[in-house]
Amino acid sequence: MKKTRWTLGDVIIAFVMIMAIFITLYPFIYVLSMSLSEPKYVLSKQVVLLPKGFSIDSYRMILQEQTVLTSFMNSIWYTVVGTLLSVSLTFSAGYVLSRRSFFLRRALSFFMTLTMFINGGLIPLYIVVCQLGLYNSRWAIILPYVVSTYNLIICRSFLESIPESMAESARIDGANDWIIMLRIYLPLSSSIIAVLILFYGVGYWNSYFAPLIFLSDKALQPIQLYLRSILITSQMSSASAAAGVGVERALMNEQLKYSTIVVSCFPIAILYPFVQRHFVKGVMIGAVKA
Amino acid sequence: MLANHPARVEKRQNALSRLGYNLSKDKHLLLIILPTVLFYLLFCYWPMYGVVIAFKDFNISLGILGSDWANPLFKHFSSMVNSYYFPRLLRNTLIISVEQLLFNFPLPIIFALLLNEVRSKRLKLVAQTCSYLPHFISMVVVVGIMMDLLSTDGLVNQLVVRMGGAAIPFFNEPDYFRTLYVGSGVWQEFGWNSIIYLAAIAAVDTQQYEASIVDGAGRWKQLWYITLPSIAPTIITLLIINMGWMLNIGYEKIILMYNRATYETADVFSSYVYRKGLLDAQYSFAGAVGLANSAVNIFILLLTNAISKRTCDISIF
Repeated sequence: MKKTRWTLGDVIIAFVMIMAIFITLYPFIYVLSMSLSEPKYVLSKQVVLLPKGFSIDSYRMILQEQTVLTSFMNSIWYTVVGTLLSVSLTFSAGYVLSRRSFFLRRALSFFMTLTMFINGGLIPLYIVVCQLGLYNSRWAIILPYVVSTYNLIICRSFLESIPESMAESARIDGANDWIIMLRIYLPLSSSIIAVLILFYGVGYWNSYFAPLIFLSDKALQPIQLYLRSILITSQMSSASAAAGVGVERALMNEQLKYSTIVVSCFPIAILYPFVQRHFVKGVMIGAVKA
Repeated sequence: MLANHPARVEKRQNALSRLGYNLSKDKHLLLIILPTVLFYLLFCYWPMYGVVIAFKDFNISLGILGSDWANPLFKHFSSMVNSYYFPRLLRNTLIISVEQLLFNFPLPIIFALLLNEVRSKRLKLVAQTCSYLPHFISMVVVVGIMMDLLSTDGLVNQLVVRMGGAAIPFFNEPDYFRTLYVGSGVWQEFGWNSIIYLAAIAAVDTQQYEASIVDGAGRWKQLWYITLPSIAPTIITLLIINMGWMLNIGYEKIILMYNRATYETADVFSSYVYRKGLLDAQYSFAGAVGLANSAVNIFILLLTNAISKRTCDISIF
């Protein structure tokens, strides 16, 4: 393309883009700045864009708050265990459904796709989970959501695009489906695995509704429920309420909201750059089949 | 006996032996997929059977089977329709759905088209990367930040006060609820939803643009006569999907955002189901509301699909 001067149109488009970037990033910058400012400016809400003063005391305080640590560790457990289970099940089911010779291929595909359009709804699911004795169990927020049909379809489409001739030659050499799936298909599927890890991982990390209805035991609750309690139903954490005699402590309470948000987004912020190049692909595979 | 007629027996034996052959041929595949099938049976199909509670007087100690049938059978449905809240729920569900479609659908297309016109490669990349980010943030955090920015002493109201107005309690005013709900949804998803259009634009044959330059087409003409027609099938397919899912307003975000003061404009069927069913434990009534809601959803999905099949030959199934 030849280099031409920027026209008025180019300038306007660039301006709109910069505005879009600003609007998407502003809330994040604001929260980060609030969490790093000095508590007195936070309390009077004087921070607009950049931190006023500098203090990491609120982060220090979070590290001492037992509720935050417990719920953070719970979230990590749910995310790691849930994602592991989800990705293994989705990948293996995707493998099976992508075998053209599998005699139940069409029947099972229909059996699974149907649930995207018809489902029992909230109340029956709740009753089923309770009847299975999962209420107040760590598995209640993993098992009922362990396979997402949408992700399964993405995975199946991806695996269908790998030529089956590779499997055939291995089969002649005496390999069964377990070996073919794990030794041949798995190494070729790193990009779809990355997409699945991202989708499921973010899903588990961010989920608040399932824990809200299934986990009343505070010791099992994830960080999102803790966030909900301090951000939305604005309860002070029990620890700070008990210890909340000091003036300093009262000053901090407001700021703790912001630091907790930052901490809760931290794992996603770390993961984001690594998987970013994969997810466009994931959306595309999904879109072709959706 | 007819059942033992030789031809039938042979047919049955054939089917049996074919089944046996298939089972042994695919035994590993069956074993691999078994856990996933169990998941679907337990957590998708069992709850589907569970919708019968809408026709029963469900009692948690008697279980789904043991509970008595409602008398009359459609008792819970008629009490839903006759409920004082029914018109309000219907109105809110419809208005929020339509507003959501109106804003959530076109903006990603416009954003993708604009991105495609950005001269600077770096600016384009930065804008893309940033715009996807909110998609990965949890609902609790999004609503929490929004509540903070819009609180009576929050940044927005500081601005309002500085300009001489009185602070507005945004989250307690029914008038603002829908705007906030739809607006935050757009903020969170416009970038993510644009990915698919960007990919469609990238797939357009560049020769078409080169030819149009020779013919003297400007940017607008290229956009109007080449880019838009090329991505039209994508747009229509997504429109069907969006319309089909239109009335499926998630309760997750609504129940985070609303409060007693804003029920007037905020309460939709799904949030009502949550409140009645899980907070008030009126399982059967809530089940009936949920069932009616999903029946309407499926009807709309099938309807839009049929219409688009007939008018532009695009359908999702």
